[in-house]
Amino acid sequence: MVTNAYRLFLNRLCQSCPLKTQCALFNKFAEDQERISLESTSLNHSDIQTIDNNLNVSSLQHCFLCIDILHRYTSDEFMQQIKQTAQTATSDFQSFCVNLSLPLNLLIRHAYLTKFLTNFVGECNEKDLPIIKDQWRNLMIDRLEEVLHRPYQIDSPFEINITFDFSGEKEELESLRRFRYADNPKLAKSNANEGFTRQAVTTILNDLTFEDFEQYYKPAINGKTTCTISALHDSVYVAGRYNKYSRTLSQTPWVIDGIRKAETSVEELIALPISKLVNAKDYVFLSSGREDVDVRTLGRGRPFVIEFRHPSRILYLPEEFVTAQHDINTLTKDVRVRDLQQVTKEESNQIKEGEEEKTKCYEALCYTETQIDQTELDQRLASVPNPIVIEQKTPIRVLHRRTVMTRQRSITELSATVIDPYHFRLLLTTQAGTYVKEFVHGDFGRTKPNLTMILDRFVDILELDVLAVNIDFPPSLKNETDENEKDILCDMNGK
Amino acid sequence: MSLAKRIKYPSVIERYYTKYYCKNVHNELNNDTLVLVHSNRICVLMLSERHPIIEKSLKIDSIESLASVNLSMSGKSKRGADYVQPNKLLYRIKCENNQNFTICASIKGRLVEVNDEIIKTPSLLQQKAQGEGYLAIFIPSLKDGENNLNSLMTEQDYNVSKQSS
Repeated sequence: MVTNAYRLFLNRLCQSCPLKTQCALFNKFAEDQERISLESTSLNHSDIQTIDNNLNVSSLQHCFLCIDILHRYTSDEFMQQIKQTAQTATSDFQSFCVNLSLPLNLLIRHAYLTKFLTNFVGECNEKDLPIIKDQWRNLMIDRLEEVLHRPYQIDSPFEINITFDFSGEKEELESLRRFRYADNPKLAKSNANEGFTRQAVTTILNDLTFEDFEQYYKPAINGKTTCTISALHDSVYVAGRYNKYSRTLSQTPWVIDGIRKAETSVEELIALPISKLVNAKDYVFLSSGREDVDVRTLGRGRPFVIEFRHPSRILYLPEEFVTAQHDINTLTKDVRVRDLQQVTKEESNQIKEGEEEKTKCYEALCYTETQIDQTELDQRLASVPNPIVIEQKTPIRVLHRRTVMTRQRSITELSATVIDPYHFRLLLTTQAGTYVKEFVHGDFGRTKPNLTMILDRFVDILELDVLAVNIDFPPSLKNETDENEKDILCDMNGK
Repeated sequence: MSLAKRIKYPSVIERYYTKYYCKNVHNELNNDTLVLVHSNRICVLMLSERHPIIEKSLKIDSIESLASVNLSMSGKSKRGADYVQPNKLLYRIKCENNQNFTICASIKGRLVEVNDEIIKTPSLLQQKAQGEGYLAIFIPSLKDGENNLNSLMTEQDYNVSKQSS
């Protein structure tokens, strides 16, 4: 009995397909049937053309078994295309890996072939048939290593993605529609137009018999295969510490409805000069906390990490970052960067690690409406426990974007120096996440204890500076000794 | 920076909030409330400076809480918190000589906080009316945040209206 399968698989659409040659069962069958010529009996639904015995692949039709993935897409020409895509994406990748994506209808053909061989030759299961992806890798990986001059590594940070699409994929999947939700007509109806996922296809194919294929499977014989190659390297991470000397600069760009509200930002002043060196699609700026617009960051500065995504270059010399750092520092006087260096992805995680435990040092310029002298100041501050534990309800000024809760925070090293009877400088070290402004004025009593309670008079804050962010990351670069002197000068003069 | 001795610096309220007023809340004469509208649209409810409790230093016998924040409130968007109307009852304040005042929300918004401290220490209403004696905190939607202002009086209009009464 001549079946559709018979015609499809024996039709010499592709003699040379490795799938055919690598499968023992198939070979056996092919040998036995060598002389059977194809009938032109009308079939149920496919229009298969008979092809001249000598032709391997017709230019109009694809190899039924592998839709040309193992033919056209293992050629030297294709290899060059891969090479070009890879090198354009990232010029200096050190290794590579390949990720293949195949159209889902190949699953159907694979299952069909398995059932066919089981019926006509002998017990055949999934493992007896060669897998297209494996075959492709066998044919291509070694050659790619040679052409790219780089080793293949399964965990390489550089991934080449090759996606194969087949124009008849959807059509072939549709022939499975009747089998989907076969035991649940209601679901079948409500999902009548739903696309097929890999999982869905696999589940359906598990339960199909050879006869089901024969009766309902309609292969898209004239489909065309297309291919998209893309390549992506893991991000490049650049870390450093920044000082902020302006009281009118936000950390991130201030844009509302596409309209820029402020000229620039800390993030842009730092990242844009570096992005001239690290050419990448885009970047993400991360810092270890951040300060308000009207707060300066002095001392060693606040640690930050910039992740440059889709980098076109991944190897850099430390000197190149020294230059970039210098560029940033000369272009603006509002921001200063130090210790700029490349770090690994793992190292960059340190910036967010232990966020709750880290401490920060601040200096606040405060005023009061009831005179105070140094003696009283010292006395009152000494009377509070050290560390002092405060409870802060979410400050009203951030309540619109933060959860309503009460946070316990500890403050150590609380001291102050009088400037005149109505003004003094407050020095304090706090646990990360402490709202210092609210500790001073009390936020309608929602932060307790607060400075107005401790000093038993009205107090408010005029200016706030961050003196230190106590995190030991990134590592300090060696030529920073004279930098320390510059530090003190800069801090005093506000650059 | 040279610092003069007693400069009048802008207060926290002046720096971050705009004052709006609601007169005769709950139809009670002179029962005026003050709504501090933060630049981030959050509203803090207080007694108006001209409220008899403050102006006449009425002795407060008790404050009864008539509303509380929904305990299921969670997350940044304060899901679960009650979105109240201006006539939502919040407190009943009983003062000397049977002078009682009912405080209502005065605006539309999510009720995210009521001030328990004033129940414990009613004198806060008089001594720290624009500080620890606040009444409640609301977060209106962006739209209501604007609409609320239409039903309230600006500081200037309020002061004028109180002069003539």
